[in-house]
Amino acid sequence: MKLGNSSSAPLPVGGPEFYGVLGAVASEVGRSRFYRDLARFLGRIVRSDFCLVMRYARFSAPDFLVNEVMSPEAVDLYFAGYYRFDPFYNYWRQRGHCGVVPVRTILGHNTNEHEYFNVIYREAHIHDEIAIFLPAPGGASVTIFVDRSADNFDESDIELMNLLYPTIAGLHKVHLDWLFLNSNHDIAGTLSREIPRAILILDRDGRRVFTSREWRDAERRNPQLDRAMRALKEEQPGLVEFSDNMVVHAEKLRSDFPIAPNGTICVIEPRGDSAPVTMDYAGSVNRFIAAHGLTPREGRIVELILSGYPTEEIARKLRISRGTVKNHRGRLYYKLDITTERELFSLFLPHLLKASLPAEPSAKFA
Amino acid sequence: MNRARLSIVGGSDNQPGSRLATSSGSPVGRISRSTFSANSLLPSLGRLAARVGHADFYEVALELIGGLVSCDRRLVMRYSRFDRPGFIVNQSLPSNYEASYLDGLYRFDPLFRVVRSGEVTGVMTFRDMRESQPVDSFYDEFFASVMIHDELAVMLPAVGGICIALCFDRDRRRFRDVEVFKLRQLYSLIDTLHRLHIERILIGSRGGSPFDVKMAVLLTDADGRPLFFNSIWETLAGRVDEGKLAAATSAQPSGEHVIDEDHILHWETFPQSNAVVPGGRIHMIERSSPGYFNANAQVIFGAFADRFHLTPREKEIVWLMLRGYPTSMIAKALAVSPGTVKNHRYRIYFKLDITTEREIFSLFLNDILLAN
Repeated sequence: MKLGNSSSAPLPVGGPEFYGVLGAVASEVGRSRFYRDLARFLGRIVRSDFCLVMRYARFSAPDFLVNEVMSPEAVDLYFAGYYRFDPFYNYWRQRGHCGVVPVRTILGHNTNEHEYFNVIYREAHIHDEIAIFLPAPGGASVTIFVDRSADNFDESDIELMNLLYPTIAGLHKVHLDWLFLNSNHDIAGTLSREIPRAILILDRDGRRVFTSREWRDAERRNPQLDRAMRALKEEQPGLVEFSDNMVVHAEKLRSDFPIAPNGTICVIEPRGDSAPVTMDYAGSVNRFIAAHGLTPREGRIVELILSGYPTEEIARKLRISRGTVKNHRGRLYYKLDITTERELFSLFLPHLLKASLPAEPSAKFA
Repeated sequence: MNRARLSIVGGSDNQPGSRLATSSGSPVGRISRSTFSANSLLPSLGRLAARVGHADFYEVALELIGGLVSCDRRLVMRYSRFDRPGFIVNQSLPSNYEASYLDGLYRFDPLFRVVRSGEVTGVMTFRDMRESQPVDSFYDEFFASVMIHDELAVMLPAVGGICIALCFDRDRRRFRDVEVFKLRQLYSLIDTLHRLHIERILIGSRGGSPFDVKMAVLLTDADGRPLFFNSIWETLAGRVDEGKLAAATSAQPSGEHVIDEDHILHWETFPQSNAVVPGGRIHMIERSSPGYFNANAQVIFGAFADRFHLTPREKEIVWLMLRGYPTSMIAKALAVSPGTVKNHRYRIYFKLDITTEREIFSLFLNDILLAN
């Protein structure tokens, strides 16, 4: 199941090959392979086993830009709702600071979030992870992850990422600028997934400079959007909710933003059940056990399976034989009318979501 | 051209290898010896990447590379196929030296020679320039003794045959292979960032030209529709017969067309892989300038020596002085004592009616430029 670039040789920073490889990454600016190559480059530096690139938005669900780690099953589970427990998703929505963020630093206080590891991280064979949050217009972030499958990153790995951050952020900025410059010539206005899909860009005088196809679709379908836009302009709340849990929000653009210096970007995103939640893991397991009428022994086994323990571990923990665990498992699957462990995770998810509390409101965007 | 301005400017410094250039009073000053540490280089690289498309891109690039090699002066020059070179960033060369260069000394610049002959490679020193194209070494030595002792140039191709050179000059020591090697490691990255910078500027900043205000630029897309032209294009384009231009440029992907005595139009087609204008074209109108100086130096020097009635020994000494030899080395080369060389020098100064060595360069420069 292990994919990715573990075969690539390590790349010492400042070594003989280093700047040449970085040059090759830079030459992908404006092209579709840019983030994949950038992630692989970082992966070689800290000897990661695989990497991943995501886009986190202000309101809507995350997106995978490059995925060389997660199996299709893990991705399904993620989008089915587990993303709402993604500590990085939570981090971006609440704090929204760019930079290098090791997973350990954001898991420190919330032990519930550790359970997320047991489901998604084990499914993806991730042992340790560093995220590099890069700013994208419209309150979004393009986030590069480097992952290890068997051991931890150490302090020097994090230092290297911090050292490289300005260069990565610089190339990323050139890349995004390029996408916008290119969109300006493209009448259809299709932008890459790096950027939120439904966007409108206004210049500093409020004139329209760019609308994406998704924005024009939304304008056609939602007469309320017009009123929402007027409210956004007149009252300057920075955020207006309109039909179907849709939100339109506006952010200022940099003075060197290519197609609209000092302009404004407006983004339409769905809002509602996508807000990050804090996991009430133990409570959810109890409710799940009660709802399906499981015996205490079965309940304990379900809890351990959901926590990601393999059969052998469960046998050791409960001081029973592997055969007995297997027998319990068989009965359990029969009762739940399922055939795979994956289905167990899917059955459990609604209980988890129902029992979980909305995370604290965003400090950055409030 | 105003020959009078060519007389080499006076000053108090008299160091070997730099009769024209000065290292004193330069705003950059002596740039400290530096290391090739990723810890210091990476933040600068980040700064450079962040300045892509900005007016200070070249200043930041100079600073980044200047942190890797010690030098006495840093410059950014523009070399083009037809026009004389231009200064883009000049942080330390006094304006009178800049004027001397633009008035004619540029024709002895080995970098100018390699650009015109298309022999440019990524990172070059004077030695590489000599090796890339074996020539009579006199003009190289003459240029080194009058203008710049040694130079390390990072050559960044732009568009339309234009090459931007990040130049690092030294007055005494030569650049060593290990220093060049460091920059060669970095070259592909700097070159890529620079290409992004050029693309960004051509498309992004409507109205600005990345090169020089004196160059007319017209950019068209693959269908020949104008995407961008600058104000000089508007002024100069009137001199071009549009029908003729269209006929000429559509027939060939690249070429040149002489407009009049002073102006030349040239164009080239971008490959389909060009990120910003695939299949598009860039047209430029440049002023034509005389090329690299190529008259026989020995012949000119012979006439020069005859005019001042120099003896064979005096001729030998002046020839070596023009090539940048200090007194001690002239003595060694001719197997005489330094005192003898000094005596000869006084007689030479008397014959030429001069009081400083600098004036010999000035006299000879006038002769060679008039002879051409």
